[in-house]
Amino acid sequence: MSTITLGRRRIGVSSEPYESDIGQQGARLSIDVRPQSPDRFSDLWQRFNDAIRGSLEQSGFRQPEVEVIEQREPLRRTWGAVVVAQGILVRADEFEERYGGIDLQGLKARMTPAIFKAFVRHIGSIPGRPDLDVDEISAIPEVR
Amino acid sequence: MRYTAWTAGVAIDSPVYLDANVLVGATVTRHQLYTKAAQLIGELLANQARILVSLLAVEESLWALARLSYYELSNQRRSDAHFSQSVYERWRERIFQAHGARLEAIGVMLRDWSNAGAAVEVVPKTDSDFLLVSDLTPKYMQRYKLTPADAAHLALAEVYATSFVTADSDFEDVAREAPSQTLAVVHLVP
Repeated sequence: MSTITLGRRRIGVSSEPYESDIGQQGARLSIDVRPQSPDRFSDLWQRFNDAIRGSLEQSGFRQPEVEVIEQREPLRRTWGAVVVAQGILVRADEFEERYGGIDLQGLKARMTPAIFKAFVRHIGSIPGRPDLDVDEISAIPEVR
Repeated sequence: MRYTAWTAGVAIDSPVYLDANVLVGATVTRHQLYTKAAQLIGELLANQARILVSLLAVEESLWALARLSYYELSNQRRSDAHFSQSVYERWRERIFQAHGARLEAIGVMLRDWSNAGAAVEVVPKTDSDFLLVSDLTPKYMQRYKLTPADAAHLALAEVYATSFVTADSDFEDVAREAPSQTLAVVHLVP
């Protein structure tokens, strides 16, 4: 893990062996911008972080959730993003897409924190499209 | 066989066998069943239901995610564009280069649920149950005019579950025809 300190923010970049059961070769690269304290560059740094993480995601490097140290209330909004559960932060538009219409607070009240985190971490984690028929695409395809 | 078109708030009796389309439906966004599928999964986890999954469901989920990746990489405009095992073989390397992590999504999700304390069980559990499911599958293929995979899902649900959650509308007809009163087909509909 290499750490770069820029102003009042600490940027961590880590490279580690890619653990995969399916034999994918390469390395796992992750980046995380962590706030030291609120400042007027918050939004800029968040966008910087989002851009780099998004780019890495598109390149096949799955990014770990951003760890948020202070967690007093669910769905806390910070820098235009939403803390969904301990350690899980998503952009506001992603929040609407993945969790809009789902009774998150009702479910959270009935789940252990660990199960709630495992639930919100995975639902809607892969972008699809409106015309997708999930039953159709789940069929074993023909040979040719 | 009982049949329920699921809406939020409708109870689902445990144990619950999940079809692949439900696992995919809750993991992939933007399609018309997404919100319902995600809410349903949330209800199962909140109710501490016994969640039954099979290797067959995982395999079908992998095909779905591979197909989705192929559509994205090849800029397919239609979500029913042709995809086959030979197409997959030609695109496999590019699929894993671009979306290797996505292909792991279902497996990681099930592992995380289990590690968090959810009751996730893999079926069949025993040799004798495997043989029973193997016997039932061709019978259901013939009786209910199902594909081998769908017949195997039904057999697994019949042997282990009280509820079979699926987005496949073929099971609405099966539920009407099948005499069993112990299994309910819970259908995810838009």
